[in-house]
Amino acid sequence: MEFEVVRPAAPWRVAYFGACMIRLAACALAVGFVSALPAYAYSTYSLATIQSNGNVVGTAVTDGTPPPGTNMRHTAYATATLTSPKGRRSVNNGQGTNTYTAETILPFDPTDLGTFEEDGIHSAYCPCMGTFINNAGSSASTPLLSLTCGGAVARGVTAICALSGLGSGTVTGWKFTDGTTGGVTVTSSSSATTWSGTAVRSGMVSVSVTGFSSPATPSTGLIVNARSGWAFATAAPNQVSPQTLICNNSVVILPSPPSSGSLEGYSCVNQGSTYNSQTISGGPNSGYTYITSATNTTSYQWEIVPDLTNTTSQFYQAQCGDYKAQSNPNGFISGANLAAQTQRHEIGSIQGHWGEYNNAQNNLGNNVGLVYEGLIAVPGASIGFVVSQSSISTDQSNISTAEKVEPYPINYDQNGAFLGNVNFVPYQKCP
Amino acid sequence: MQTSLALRVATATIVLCALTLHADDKYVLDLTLPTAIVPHPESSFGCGPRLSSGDHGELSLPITPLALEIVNFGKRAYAAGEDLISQIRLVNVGKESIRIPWNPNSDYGNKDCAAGAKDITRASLTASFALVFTGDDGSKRNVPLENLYGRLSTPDTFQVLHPGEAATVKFRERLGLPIVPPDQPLGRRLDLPQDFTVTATYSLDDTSLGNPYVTVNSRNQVKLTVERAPTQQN
Repeated sequence: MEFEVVRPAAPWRVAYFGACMIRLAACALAVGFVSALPAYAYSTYSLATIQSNGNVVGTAVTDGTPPPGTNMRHTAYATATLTSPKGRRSVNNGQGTNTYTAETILPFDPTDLGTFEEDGIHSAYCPCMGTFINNAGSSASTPLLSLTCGGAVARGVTAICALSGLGSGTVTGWKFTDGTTGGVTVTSSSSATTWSGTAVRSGMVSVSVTGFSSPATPSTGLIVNARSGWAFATAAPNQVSPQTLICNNSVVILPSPPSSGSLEGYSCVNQGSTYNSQTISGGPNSGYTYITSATNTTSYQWEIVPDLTNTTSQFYQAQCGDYKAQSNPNGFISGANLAAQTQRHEIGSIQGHWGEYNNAQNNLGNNVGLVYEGLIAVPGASIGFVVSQSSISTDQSNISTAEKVEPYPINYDQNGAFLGNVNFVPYQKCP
Repeated sequence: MQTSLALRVATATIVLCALTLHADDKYVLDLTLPTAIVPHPESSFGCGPRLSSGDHGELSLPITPLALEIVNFGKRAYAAGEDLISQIRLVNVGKESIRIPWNPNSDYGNKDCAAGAKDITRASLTASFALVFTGDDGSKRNVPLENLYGRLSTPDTFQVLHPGEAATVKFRERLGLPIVPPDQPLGRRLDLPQDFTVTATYSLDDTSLGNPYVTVNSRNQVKLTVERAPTQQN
C-alpha cells in the first residue's frame, strides 16, 4: 500500500484549543471540580490507499477526544471525498463520539488510472461550550498505476519510464508504439516497474499490469525533442590556385588569355557530409538507430583566370579603363575593376555565387544538418538507407540550384551599373 | 580479415546456390539465405549524399544505363509484418559497362567520403533498393530493402555489368509498411487490407564519379495486396 498523509498545520488548533480550554475550565468550575489541564491533541488527517483488487479507498479521520479526566465528550465529524484522475468522485461523511473515520471507495477502472486525490473535512462539537471547535481540511493522494516517462527529453538522452502505484498488481510487459509511423513497436517482457533507455523517437509507452479485478494497460507519451546546434554553417569561399579547381571530379580550366564567351572565373560548391550513428540497446527505443553526430564537409572553391591576377599581363593591360557612361559609352572597363567584379561575381555576398549559396544554406528548410538531427532508422532498418532516402539530396539540389543563378556579369557592379566593355583578343589599343 | 574472407566465401556461395534458380541472368544474389544476413553494426560511420556543382550550366548527374524491373513477389498477397520476398532485376540496356555493388556488408561502403576523386582505388559503390507502395488514395510508402556495397579495390564486392547483361537480387524484408506515409500529416491511418501498386527504385553512387547516378525507377509495376497482421487490432 502506498499513501501519503498530510496533517494540517497546528496554529488554528492551538487557538481553538485555547479557547476551548478557557471555556472548558469555566465549565469545569461550574460542575464543581478543578484539576490541572492535561496534554491534549486534536488531530485530523486523510489517507488514500489501494486495495488488493485495485479499488481506491479515501479516508478522513477526525479525533476530537477531550482531555482525559474531564469527563466530557465531543462529537467528531468527518467527510471524505475521493476524486479519480478522470473526475469520478465518491463522498462519505458521518459523525461519532470523540472520533470519526469516514471512508469512501472508487472501484477499479482500468481506464481511469493515475493520481487519486482524497480531501477530508473535519470538525468537532464541544457541548460544554456549545460550539464547534473548528472546521478543518486535510488531503492525501495516491498513485494508481501511474506511468510517466519524466517529461520531454532531448534526442539521445536517457528516458526513464516509471510505474508507481502498482499496489499488489504485477507487471507483465512493456510496449512502445512509434509516434511517427504509428506501427513499429518495441516490446519487453520485463516485470520491472521501470523501463529506461536512450530516447530518440516520440511515441506512446504502455505497461501491462495484472492482479487487479481486471487487466490494465496504463500508457503515457514519450516525448523526444530535437537537439540544438545541428544546423550546418556555410562554407567559407576558398580561392585555389589558377587551373586547379576540381568540380564534379574534373579540373576546371579557364582559357588564358580569356576570349569572348570564355570564363574569367569559376566557383564550385562540393556538398558533402559524414555522420556517425548508434543503435540503441534497451528501453522503449531499443533497436532504433539515430545519428549521433554529423559533420559538414562541404567546400566552396573558386578561382580566377591568372590574367586578372597578373597586373602585367597583356589581357589586364588591355583593359583601358576609359569607359564613361556619357562621354565614352563604348570604352573599356579597367583591369582592377574587372578583377574586382570577377571576384564579386564568384564570391560576393551580394550579386555573387557564394552569396547565393550562403543565402540558400541559411534557409533552414535546406539545412542538411537539421535533417540529420531527425533521421531515425526503425529496428532492423539501415540508417544508411534512411540517410540516402532522406531530403538531404533535395536540399543539396536546392542549394546548388540557388548557387547557379547568374549574378550581374563581371563588367557590372553589384548594383547592376555597367562599368565598360571587356577588351578581348584581338585587343583594341587603349587611347 | 577473416571476417572479410568469410563474407566473400559466403557471397560466392550465395551466388552459386542461386544461379541454379536464375540461369538467365549473369549475376544472381540471393539475400534470403541465412548466410547472406549481415547484421547492422551498433555504431557506424557513414558518408552522406554528395553533390558537386559549379556555377555555370545545368547540374550534371550521370545517368545509369540500367533498367530496373520487379521480377515477382512470390505471391499476390502478404500480411503486414510478414517477410516479403522480392526479386528485382537490373539490365544493362546501354552501350557501356557499369559497375554495380554486390555485397550487403556495409564495411565495403565508403569510409573516406571524398576518396573517389583523390584515389580511385579507395572509391566505393553503394546501391539502395526500395519498393514504393502506392495506395488507393495515391499516398506512397517506401519499404527499404538491403543496401549493397562494393569497393573498387576489392573485386569480389562488385560486378561489372556489360551491355545486355542482367543481374537479379532476391530480398527478404519484413513488410513493415509505415502507417503514416512520409508525405502525409500524422493521423492519416493505413487501412488494411488494401491493394497497392508497387514499383521499385535503385539509387547508385560510385564515388569515383563526380556525383551519384540519377535514381532509376522500375519500368514495371506489380499489384500486391497487403492484409492485416493476424494480431493487428486496428
